[in-house]
Amino acid sequence: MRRMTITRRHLLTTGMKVTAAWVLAGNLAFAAGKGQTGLLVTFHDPRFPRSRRLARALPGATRLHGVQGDPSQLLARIASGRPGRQPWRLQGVTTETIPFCLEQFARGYHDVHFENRRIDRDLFAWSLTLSGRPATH
Amino acid sequence: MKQILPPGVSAEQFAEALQAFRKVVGEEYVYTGQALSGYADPYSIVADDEAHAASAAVAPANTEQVQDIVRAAGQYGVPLWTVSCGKNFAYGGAAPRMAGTVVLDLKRMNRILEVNEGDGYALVEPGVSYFDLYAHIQAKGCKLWLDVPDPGWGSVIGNALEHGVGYTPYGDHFAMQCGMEVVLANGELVRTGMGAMPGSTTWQLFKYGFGPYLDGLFTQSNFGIVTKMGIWLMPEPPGYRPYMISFQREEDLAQVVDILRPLKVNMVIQNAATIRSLLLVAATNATKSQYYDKPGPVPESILRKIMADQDIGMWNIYGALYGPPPVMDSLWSVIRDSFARVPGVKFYFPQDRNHPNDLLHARAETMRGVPRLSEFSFINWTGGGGHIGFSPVSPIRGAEAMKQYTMVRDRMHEYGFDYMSIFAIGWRELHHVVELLFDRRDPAIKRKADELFRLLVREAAAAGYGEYRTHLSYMDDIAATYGWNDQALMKLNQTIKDALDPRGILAPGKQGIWPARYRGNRT
Repeated sequence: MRRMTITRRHLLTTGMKVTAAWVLAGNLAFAAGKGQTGLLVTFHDPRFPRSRRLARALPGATRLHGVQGDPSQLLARIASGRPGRQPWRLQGVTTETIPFCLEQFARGYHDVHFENRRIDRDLFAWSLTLSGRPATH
Repeated sequence: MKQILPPGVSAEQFAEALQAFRKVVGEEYVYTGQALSGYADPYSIVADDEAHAASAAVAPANTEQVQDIVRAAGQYGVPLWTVSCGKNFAYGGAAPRMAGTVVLDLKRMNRILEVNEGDGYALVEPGVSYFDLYAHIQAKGCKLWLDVPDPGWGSVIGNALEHGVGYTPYGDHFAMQCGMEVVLANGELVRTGMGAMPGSTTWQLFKYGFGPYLDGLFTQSNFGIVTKMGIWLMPEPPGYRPYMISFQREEDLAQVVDILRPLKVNMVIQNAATIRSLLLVAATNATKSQYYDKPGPVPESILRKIMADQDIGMWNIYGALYGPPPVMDSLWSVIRDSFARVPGVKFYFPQDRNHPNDLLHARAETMRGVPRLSEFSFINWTGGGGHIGFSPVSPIRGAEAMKQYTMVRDRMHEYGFDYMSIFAIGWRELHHVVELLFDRRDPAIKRKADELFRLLVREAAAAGYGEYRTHLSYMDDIAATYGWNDQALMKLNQTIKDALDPRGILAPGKQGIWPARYRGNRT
């Protein structure tokens, strides 16, 4: 899988004018189905209009959920063992602390697959898949 | 993945040690290779990726397994670095101080052994997080409040052992611990305080027992592994009223701190109230690029715009009142009258703050012991997610607070960083917790942050301010600043270390305390 590296210079030259076209050109391909099924939840950050637009373009995204501050409620659902044996995929275009907190927390409970790509200075496109199996570490 | 070994341990010895660990905990609870990714420091500031890399991790299920692992580690000379929940981010997370150390992960030891509503305490194991204990208390319907730090996913024991703080009247977590069970480096098990008496009825009720009070030896140290601890819980008060007070000018800090001191010392301010700087408050709700997209610190004109947009001050006190309504009314009248003499002061209760993500709403939960992760949002300010805390302590005096503020702010601006901080009010001291944000993917910014941090440590020490806690990478630097009388305190720590842990198994380098076997390379 190709990893996109965003340098500080790149950021300064492109600013935040990253377009949906750039994202759709394949840079979110990691979020495309890997044969997993089960619950899929897609998040965006309501402070950034481009977040909604980009999140809507993620594979399988239908209804979007706004999140910007505290993901604690989500953590409780992760800790409770949901979704059982079914894979559960969370994805979104948000600021970085949302996927950071979810991934760090989920690792304690589930076997996880995590991908995270920076889009611009503020936003990250990410995908966190909980396999439905208990954590292996 | 490259195999990292503990210093002085051969590959054969290490393999035998891991095999011994597997016999104790089972194959699935000894981790190597890719399974170690969770034990890396996510906010590492050093250029060397291996500086704090673990060689393996082992997760015991109970105290007996901890004892067996420690004995095996001693036999093979393999050092262990203990973590509870491993969420002490900004101070190193679950990563060890010394590369090659095996992480002893106590996450599976997550039993809440007792919650006593009448006497107001809990007895827990290290893997119990604030989320866990809060959920347990709620499920049981106990009329008890927890005291939580800002991120609620950390360990109750781990936070107290690291001298962490929360924001109710029970905010000094080590002061609220009572009674420990500790595994020593030779595998022996001891209980402190009243717990040393077989059949004791007061292990979690009276701290001191008989003889020397030893519990402090096992905090911020590498003298033992705490496997159980009592923590006092606050009875649910009959009333609760959180508040925010904002101040408009930088120079107000001195007057605000001088007003705070007698209010805190006389317990008019009941909880561990905090003064938060403008950008720390703003950053929980916005990112820098929404206001300013140039390199370097945010200029004064933009700071004023942020203040107006978010209706916050250059400094902002978040506090709370607890007790029967007439008591809260009386305390509030004293607090309000005291601060009313600061020009431009504004007072708020949660109903005055309309934005759903306003920080007062989050603080209102935290100051009544509801664990959250809200305050992680500030890390998004510059993007890139890295941060470390610079945390010098000063007297609760306005002039001292201003001196600390200006010296740190000026250095941060010189290096191109925004100033963000909390002044947390203790019983006799101010903790000035400065958040240094950096893009963890940008080596150049990390180098600058590292250089700045070391400079701040030196300058603070020269002015008489010491840090109370630090990241793995700076433990030696900070320890060296506590050097009165030719490093007499460190010599005492080393004497204790050598007596309790002659093989140097437990957490080498923790808080700058190195066992004899590694000391020679560092002095």
